[in-house]
Amino acid sequence: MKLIVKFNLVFIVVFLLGLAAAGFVSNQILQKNARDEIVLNARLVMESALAARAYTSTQVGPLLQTQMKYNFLPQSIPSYSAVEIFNGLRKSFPEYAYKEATLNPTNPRDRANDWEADIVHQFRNTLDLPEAVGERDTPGGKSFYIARPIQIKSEACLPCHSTVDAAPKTMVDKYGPANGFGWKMNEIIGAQIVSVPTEVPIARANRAFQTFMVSLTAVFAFIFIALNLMLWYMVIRPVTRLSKFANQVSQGENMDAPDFVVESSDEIGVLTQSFNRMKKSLVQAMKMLDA
Amino acid sequence: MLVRGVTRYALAEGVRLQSGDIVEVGDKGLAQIEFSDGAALALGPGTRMLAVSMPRDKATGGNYYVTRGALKVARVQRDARLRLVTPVFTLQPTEGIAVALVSDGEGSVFVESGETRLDGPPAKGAATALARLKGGEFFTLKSGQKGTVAPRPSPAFIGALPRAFLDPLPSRMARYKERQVQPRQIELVTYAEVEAWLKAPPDIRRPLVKRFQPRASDPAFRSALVANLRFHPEWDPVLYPEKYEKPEADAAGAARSDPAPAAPVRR
Repeated sequence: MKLIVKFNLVFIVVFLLGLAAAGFVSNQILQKNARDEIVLNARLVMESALAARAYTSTQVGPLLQTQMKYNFLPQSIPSYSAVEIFNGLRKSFPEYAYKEATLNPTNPRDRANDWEADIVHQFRNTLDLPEAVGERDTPGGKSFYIARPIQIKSEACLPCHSTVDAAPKTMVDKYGPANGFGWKMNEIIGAQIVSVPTEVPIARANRAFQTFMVSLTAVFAFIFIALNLMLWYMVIRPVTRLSKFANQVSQGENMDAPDFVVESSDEIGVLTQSFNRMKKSLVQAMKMLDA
Repeated sequence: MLVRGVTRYALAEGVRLQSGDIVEVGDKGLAQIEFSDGAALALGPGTRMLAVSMPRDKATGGNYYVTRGALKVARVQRDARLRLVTPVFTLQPTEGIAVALVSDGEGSVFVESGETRLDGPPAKGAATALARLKGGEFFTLKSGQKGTVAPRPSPAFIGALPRAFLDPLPSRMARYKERQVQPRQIELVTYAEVEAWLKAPPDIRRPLVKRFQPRASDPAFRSALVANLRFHPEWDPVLYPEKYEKPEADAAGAARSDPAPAAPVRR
């Protein structure tokens, strides 16, 4: 078996082992990073929603208070502005879903469904639970969610949600007197829930993994070609020529031929110089025998 | 536009109103009168208002006659003596914020907060109490019908209000506390410019005869007065004084028997 074949066999085995190890480790890391990124983005969405709620409650609401005596303006409602801002965000991040799931909402679109109500009750039963993260099965596959409690921490919420009499009449006209009242200070009335299909982080990680593996393979291929070329020009080719020359000298041919020339000072150059010296010594010994 | 005396002026921000001033807001304009105690009276597009009397002290008060338009009175302190008379009703906000629309024998009032008293128009004799509205209540009175109170303003009323009336009235008074702004004089009023006031209910228009009497010497003004005399017969003695002059002999006899001045008699 030729040297280059042996070298390449070893190289390919090492390459495949390295690729497999790198693939396994990188896949684990990318999956974890993708999930972490989803969680981080979900937290950002929630913080944005909280900021929008606070801004609406403290700055927009008071400005529209007079108008609310004439027409109900949902723009003055914190949860409405949070959802609307998120709807704007969805244009860039369509896979995310956001809901302010509430047990007793003013707007029916905010009413918590079964699994959302379970999360709200979890927060109500464990008051110091800051966040809930999990996965659930849906008809479209597994879904990842992150939830935080909505707690009444500002007196500004109560005029609209304590009693029907205290609420803006225009709001009662629009939503009726049955829902969204009786909220109390510090009560957990719902949960912010951001959910995203599990396949989204997996697909994102897979895309990154494929890119990584293709890049790694391309790098290995480049190294393979470069090493083979170097091996051919720097080792195999001069050794083959030197071997052919040595073979002729050993059979008494080309004894008067000039020295074998290799213009390098590496191991091959040193071997060539040693061979040339050996050939000279052999020629002198042969001449002494002939004399 | 501002009519002061018999002259028309261009209104500017910061002008101090006087008793007798007539303010007319353009079709796209807004005007606001601010009182020393912080109360404000905003006039919507197309509003015509006569300041019958202005408050003499720092409290909100005065009598204002509004023939038509949109009004918003805000930040009225308790027991203010502010009286807004219209051909449909008399509005007396005792506290809070109220908004009113008046047009062609029809009027509506919405009380944003506080309390407002509504009386019948003074033209119909002694003021009759129409309603006492509380915050959130809406009163509407159509020509020939009885006024009704509703718990919400109607969409038509809200739609007819100037957009600015749906927000709190901003205060600009602090900028002019130390500054006197004079309105720019334009020219003497024409009949058309004060026609609505000369044809107003008798209580309003009669005192205006003396004020606009100098304009009767203007041929155009005089001919318009003559043409519309049936709407303001009190101008007859001004236009035709000879009809009211008594023969000298009668006058002398009357003077002997009755020392009180008798002529000219104004109706």
